[in-house]
Amino acid sequence: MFPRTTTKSKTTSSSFLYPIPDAESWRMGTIGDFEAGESLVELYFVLDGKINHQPEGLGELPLSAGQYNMIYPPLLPTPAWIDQEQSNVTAFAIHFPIPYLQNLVVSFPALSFFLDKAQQGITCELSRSPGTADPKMITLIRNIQDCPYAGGLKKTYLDLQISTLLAIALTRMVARTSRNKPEILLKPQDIEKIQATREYLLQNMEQPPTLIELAHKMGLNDFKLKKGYKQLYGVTLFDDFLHARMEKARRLLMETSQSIVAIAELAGYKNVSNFSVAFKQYFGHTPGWFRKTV
Amino acid sequence: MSKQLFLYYMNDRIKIFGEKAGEIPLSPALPSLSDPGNIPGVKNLGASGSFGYLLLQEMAGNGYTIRYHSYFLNQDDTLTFTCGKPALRLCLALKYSFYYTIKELGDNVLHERGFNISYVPFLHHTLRLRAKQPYAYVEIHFSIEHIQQLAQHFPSVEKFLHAIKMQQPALLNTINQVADKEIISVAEDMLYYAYPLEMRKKYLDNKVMEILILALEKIIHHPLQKPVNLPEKVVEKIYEAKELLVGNLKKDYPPKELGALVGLSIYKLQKGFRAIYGLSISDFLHESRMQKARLLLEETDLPITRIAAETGYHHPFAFSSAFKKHFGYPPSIIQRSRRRVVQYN
Repeated sequence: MFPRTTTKSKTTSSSFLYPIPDAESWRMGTIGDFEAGESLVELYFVLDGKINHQPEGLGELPLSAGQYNMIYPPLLPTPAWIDQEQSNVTAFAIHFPIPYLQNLVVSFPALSFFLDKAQQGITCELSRSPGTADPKMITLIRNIQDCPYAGGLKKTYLDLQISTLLAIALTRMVARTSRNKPEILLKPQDIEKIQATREYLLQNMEQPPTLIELAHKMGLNDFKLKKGYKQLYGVTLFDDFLHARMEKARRLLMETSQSIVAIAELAGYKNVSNFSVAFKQYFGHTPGWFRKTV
Repeated sequence: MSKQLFLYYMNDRIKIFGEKAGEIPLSPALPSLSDPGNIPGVKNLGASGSFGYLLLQEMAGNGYTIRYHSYFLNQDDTLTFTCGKPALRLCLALKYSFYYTIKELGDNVLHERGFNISYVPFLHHTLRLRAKQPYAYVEIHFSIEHIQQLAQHFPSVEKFLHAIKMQQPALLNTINQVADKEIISVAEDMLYYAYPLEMRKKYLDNKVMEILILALEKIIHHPLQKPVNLPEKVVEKIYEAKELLVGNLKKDYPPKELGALVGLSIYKLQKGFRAIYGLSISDFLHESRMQKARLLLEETDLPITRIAAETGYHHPFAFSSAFKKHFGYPPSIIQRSRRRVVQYN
């Protein structure tokens, strides 16, 4: 009854924890044995600091504290991918044999595309946009690192923690892509343009352009911008922008004494009543109420 | 006049007698705000009336059943639960003290955070409950295979396993134990499940095993040697003091003032806290502050400065580092992961 998948697949997982770049002090704990030369997939987390690595063919993949992704082939323990200036990086990784993950394709269909590529030996990652760890995941990682047990009980305990962590990680990451329609192909320059679009939008919140204007400005067509944005960030451009505007408005309401009319303008609303309606829809209360109570 | 209630749980028929309450009609119920949410797949059965209310929630899994009970009575009463089926279970008291009698195992009490693992060939226990107090406990019924799987790591459970095979009532330890924060947090993980439904089965399978490992480790390798032995009056006052602390997290009560407010000497107050919670007053206060902070981070959009102030920290930086030390992750992790969830859904 108790899921023994990890034990049964004979090849289990190993975990590395290391403060970088002091390679000497890597702590490495290995559970179970790997078959020599077996293909491993890596689930890695950045716990502290920021990293920016560039696996061949994938371009830049920046990750900040609390983010994670799954990648083939494993990045760790290669210190080369760490930005040397960022000395206080803590990362954590678990390596899984591909057959172990194939058992999970039934529950997470989006995994199959990634695993197929990995099996062909192609460098790939599970998702273009990294996942964000929730507190339960961090607690599980801590439990794995600080496992208080020894011997057989340690293995049982770690198997439990690792399989829970993997299931949550996949749920948080894959659940959002599997529901989407088929993805469109994004070339590296498209991705750059979409990233630039986001920056532009956030910088120019006060005069938001229309979608068409924005697409032209960035040299993309509006279909690609809309679809690509959703694909890249897991959220529509409009929702993301609305979120940013509302957060800005909320911050200004709380931290400054500017009038609501002025705040509406700063958040890119020409008409204050449009702003109030949007704010109420988003937070459940009008800006005026919010200011008075909070 | 006492009447019986019939309650169908899985295939077990449980009878509940209320000595004073009379007949209490039980029906599918909605949980109140203070109880774990109304998750699909969770059975809710309850009753309410002039006697007060009872709510029983159940999640069934592969070879185990998790039940959450909450009671609130308008008058003191004694409830008897009986069932013809055997029960192998871990009981953990979450709110208030349960004074109980289990047939053939005798009288005992589980204070808040008290727990034990027991086996009875058929369920028969009596709870003595006080009026106007919110009671809650969680029980995890599991199969003998669960323990057998772990028996090699905890050889001394053999005696307990033997009793089960002979169908004799048994306690894993005759002394009820006090749960540490790891055990409490796994129990909360089970009750306040936050992920998509399709993952729940695997998650709960793992959590049941995890809580069992933690409980066995505690009961077998680091057990309390002496039972918690406090007069009921003192226990009540400890709870009063606890409510004062938890309700005023901004404030730093000196133990002397707290003792005076509830009518206990500093010595008795400190001793009582340690006995029930396994923590000193200041550690308990710290833990409550951290829990409150986490709740605020999870449930509200309050800025960190404000949350720090709500939980008695003057400086947000001191708050953040205390938080990180306690939970192992900084407060910002919660805010960030929440934002992502909002986006996905």
